[in-house]
Amino acid sequence: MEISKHKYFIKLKRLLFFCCALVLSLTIVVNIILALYKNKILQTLSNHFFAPVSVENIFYLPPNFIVLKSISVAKSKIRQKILNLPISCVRFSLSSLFLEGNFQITSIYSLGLNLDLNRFLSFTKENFTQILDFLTHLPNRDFKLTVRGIAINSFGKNIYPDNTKADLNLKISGTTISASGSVGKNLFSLQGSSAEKQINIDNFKFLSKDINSQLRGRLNPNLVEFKGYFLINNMNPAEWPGLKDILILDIDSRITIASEHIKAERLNFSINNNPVRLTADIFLSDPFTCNLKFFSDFRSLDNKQEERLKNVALIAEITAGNDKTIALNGSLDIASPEQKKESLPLEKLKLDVKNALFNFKESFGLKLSASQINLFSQTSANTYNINLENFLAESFRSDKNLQSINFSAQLYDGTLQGNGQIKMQQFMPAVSADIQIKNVSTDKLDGLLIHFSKVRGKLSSQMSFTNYPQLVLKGLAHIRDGSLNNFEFLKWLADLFELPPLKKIEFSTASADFIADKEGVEMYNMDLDATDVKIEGYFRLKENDLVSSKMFLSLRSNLLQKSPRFTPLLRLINAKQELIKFNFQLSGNLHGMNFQWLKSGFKDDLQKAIPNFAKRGFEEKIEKVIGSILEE
Amino acid sequence: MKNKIPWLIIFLSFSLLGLRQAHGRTEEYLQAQEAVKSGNKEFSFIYFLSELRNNPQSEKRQEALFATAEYLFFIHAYNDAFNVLVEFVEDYPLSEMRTSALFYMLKIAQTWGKEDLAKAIKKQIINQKRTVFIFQETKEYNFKSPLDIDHKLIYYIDKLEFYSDGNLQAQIFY
Repeated sequence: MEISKHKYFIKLKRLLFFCCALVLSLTIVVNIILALYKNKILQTLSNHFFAPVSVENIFYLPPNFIVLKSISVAKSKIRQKILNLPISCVRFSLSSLFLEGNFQITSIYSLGLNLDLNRFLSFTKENFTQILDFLTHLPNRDFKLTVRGIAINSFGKNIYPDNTKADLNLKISGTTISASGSVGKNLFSLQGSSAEKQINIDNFKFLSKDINSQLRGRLNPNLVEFKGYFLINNMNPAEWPGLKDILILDIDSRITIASEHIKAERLNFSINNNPVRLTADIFLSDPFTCNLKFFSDFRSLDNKQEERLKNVALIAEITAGNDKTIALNGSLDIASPEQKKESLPLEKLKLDVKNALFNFKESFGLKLSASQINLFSQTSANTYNINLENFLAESFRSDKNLQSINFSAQLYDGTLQGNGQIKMQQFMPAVSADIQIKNVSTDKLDGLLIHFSKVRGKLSSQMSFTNYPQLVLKGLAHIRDGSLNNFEFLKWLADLFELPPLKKIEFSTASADFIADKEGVEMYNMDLDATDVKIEGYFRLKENDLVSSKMFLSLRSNLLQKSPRFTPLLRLINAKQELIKFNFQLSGNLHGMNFQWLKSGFKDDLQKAIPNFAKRGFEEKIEKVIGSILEE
Repeated sequence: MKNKIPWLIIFLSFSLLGLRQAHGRTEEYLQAQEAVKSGNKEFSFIYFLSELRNNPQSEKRQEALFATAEYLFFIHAYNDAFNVLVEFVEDYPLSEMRTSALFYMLKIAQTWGKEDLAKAIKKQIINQKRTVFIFQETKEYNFKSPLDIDHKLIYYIDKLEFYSDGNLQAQIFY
């Protein structure tokens, strides 16, 4: 009994030894085969990954494991590493191998993946269709992928300063796909399924301290469709104090992909209850071009209902060259259908830009040129139009949030130049600028202000503009060697007194300060000095078209003596003054102004000379005439 | 014959009513005027109200509307006063009492603290009349309201003052 037991153990030991020797031999043989076929394996892997794959060592471990050491995937042309895996363990199915003769991977476990985010995104962008095609054509077999300790780098630096790693678990069971993982402290999960040439995403969740998102949709090599939402906390409350959260809801998109043509047929969503509709045609070929259409009924990001509704339409044709330039043609249209108190009476604003070129070549900043810029605006009372040609600008960052800009352009037959600063304030750029205009023919500015059509001369102006905290444009305008032709008020005086020279007054200089802000528009310190006429005063147009104005008009007596109607009045008062002064005040509605003849020496003399009983008749008569003229 | 008597009475009543209205003043309106003369504003209000309800086509509807609104304003029944004033302003755009009616509406809007409404009314007052001053510095318009209240509007080039019974009620600046 003892002997037979001893023999049995010896046999068992021999069997074990034989098995071990067999396994060892098999391992050695397989490892030799793997070493011999390493290049072929790498070639196959490279074909699958659309990029050169290199592996330092490949080991077989019984019974069904293959260990790969230092796998790296590089960009094909420049061999920059996209990702690097120090060690991976691949498990394959022995039954499939022996029964079906098919090498089938059932799971992969990797540790310490090092990923270069920029190169990975670039690689994904370049091979998007192929990757989707590869994924959608995967055989429906059970598969599990686990990657632990992923380090994500951007430009050579870990994007998580505290070296927080990412993890990924992917499981494919039949047609069902599930994935979960983390990126730093952010968690994500995915539930989906693969159908014919398509991946259906039933639920993709992303949850972090500041972002909560859910998406669903489908992907195939020619189509991406997804719906869902993003809830984003205000991560910078100091800079955006009025903003609680950013809610991107009701995302609805359909993007088709055909070779290098990506067409966003629709990308609709609402951002903090402001609906946005976007379509785009993107051509990835060289040069990269994008035809973009953006529409939004925008009120406010911080849900302030008192803010005006702005219907925004942006249509742009963008071409990005390899020489760090971006060409742009487009228009921006902003319509404000609502009027709110204390806001500018602006109903419409349209900016057209032709042949704009953004040049990022210079190290210090951005250069911009445009052959034509047209700005059109419409208020409740008027329309304004201004054209700039050969616009040139240089922009450079002078502070963390501050962008400085120098610009120049041709303004009709004159020039415009200036400098400004742009600072981001609660999502809106706060712009301030000093602008100089030189030698522009005033009649060409009739689109800017209709009254300019009646002024001839060369305009020069120095003005400053800011839109934060309130919109203010102010400055000084100066016209030299000009004339006033059929200016309403002077035309009326000319008709009233039968004094045709007043219809055209030639002057050497005319100037006025001006200011436009939320209170209205004002011209003050008006000063026109002509041979026989002098005009001073101010004209203020306030909210609701309310006028407040005083005009001081002086006419030389030798001019007045040419008037058949005025001569009797001069005789009546026996006027001796060289300059006869008429001072007027205007008030009330712009289209129905009140009128008062203010005190002056001439008026006093006339009042004394006219008997009281005649004054009322005189007044009524003049009132009717003035009324009829003001109505015009 | 008996059956015809009530019809005859109704016919005569309508005929008399028609005759009264032909003269422009209904019974209610005359009674309202009598009450105003005797200083009894409460009764005059009831008669004016009765005039509005019973004789909607009356020639004196304009006066009755204004008087009703004015009485409601003075007893601080602002909601009702405002509604009647709106009706008056819309129905009688050329009435000499329209500016006074707008001033009452402005006062009510200011009492309610409705700035936007007050601004809109103010704009209507400003647009109501253009004034031209050649030798005069001011222009005065006086009238007596159906409730026997003296109204006075003084126009300046840059402001308008509204007085009732000699007291400055409101002023607006252009």
